[in-house]
Amino acid sequence: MLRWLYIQLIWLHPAPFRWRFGDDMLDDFDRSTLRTKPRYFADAVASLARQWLLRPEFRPESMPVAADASLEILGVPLFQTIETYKPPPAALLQGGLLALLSISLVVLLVGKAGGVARPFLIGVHFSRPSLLPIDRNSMTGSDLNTTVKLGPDPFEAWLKLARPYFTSMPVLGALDADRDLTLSPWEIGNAPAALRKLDINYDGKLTPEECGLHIDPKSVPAALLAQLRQRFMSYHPVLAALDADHDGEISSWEIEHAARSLKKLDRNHDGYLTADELIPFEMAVHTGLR
Amino acid sequence: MKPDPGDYLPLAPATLHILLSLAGEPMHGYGIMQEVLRQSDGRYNLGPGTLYDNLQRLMKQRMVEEVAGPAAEESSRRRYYRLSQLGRGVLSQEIARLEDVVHEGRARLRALKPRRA
Repeated sequence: MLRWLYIQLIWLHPAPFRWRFGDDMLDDFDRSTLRTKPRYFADAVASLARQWLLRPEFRPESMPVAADASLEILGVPLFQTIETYKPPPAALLQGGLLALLSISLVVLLVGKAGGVARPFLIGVHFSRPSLLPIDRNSMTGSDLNTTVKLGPDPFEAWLKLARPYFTSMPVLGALDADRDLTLSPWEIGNAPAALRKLDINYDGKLTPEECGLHIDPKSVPAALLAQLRQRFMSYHPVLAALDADHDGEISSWEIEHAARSLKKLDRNHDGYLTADELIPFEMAVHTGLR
Repeated sequence: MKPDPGDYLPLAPATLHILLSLAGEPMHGYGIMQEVLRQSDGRYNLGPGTLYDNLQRLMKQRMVEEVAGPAAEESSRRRYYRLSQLGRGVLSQEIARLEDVVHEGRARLRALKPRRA
């Protein structure tokens, strides 16, 4: 198998090189030990690239054909192999096989990308009622009086909590352009522009106060104020994600790369940031949602 | 017009080792690889692709030429190579150049050594 693969690699070299050195390369491969064979493969691949990319002077296209033209004028039948000018059938077959393998690999990877194997629909089966025998003797003549009670939609509870939370957080208010309490892929992509609108003092960055912290700096000691500002930025998931270097402010670089930072909050990888992904964990625990 | 050996300098490591291997008797490809391995104390492991690519170029530049193998190995399909007159000249000039480099390097290193009081 290894030998066959190595022969294919030799076959992919330009014809003049292959004719002249192919046998020697194969002979060298046969003499090598099993441990050195992977290195020989790597070397053959490098040689392949070198021959096709860096050695145009040795390729068949650059060989002179003037002598053949003069013979044709004299009426001498001209015979030539097509291999010099066109890819041989074997090479075309190899190319086709390689393409098929590559496509299969890509399809396989795409199918497995979400971690869930997609089942293939190969037919539809409609079950006939006659397959299920019904004992009608046991049925009563009256209608069933069972009442089905539906519980509250669990996501409704998240939305109830999200509504005041989004309103109290200027950052979320700015990001959620359509006010549906969900950040769509477009809103995430538009995050840098939305965040820049919050930069009231035009210094290029967002301070905790610009992000929604309301504390009178005169009422608390400086050390405690710094601690509170830091805590505010780390408590809210959206701010913690945006403040990538955790220095307590959203710098201009962090604003520029806001979309990438926000995508880290998308736990279910559906492209949307919903309430359960944006509301602080402690808040959700406190309200019984977690 | 005869080509000037100096035009081919400096040589790439692979080229230098191949020319050096062929400085003695004619050799086939596998022999050259083994000889390069021996010369470099196992540090430079030349693969067949690299070797024949270099040989192809060296033959085009007329530094290496193909010769008939030894009589005992006539049935072998292996090709033998040897250094041409031009190849020998290029190798000599490269060795002289490397000697100058080594000489210069030693002198510089000696000057860098801390002097004893």
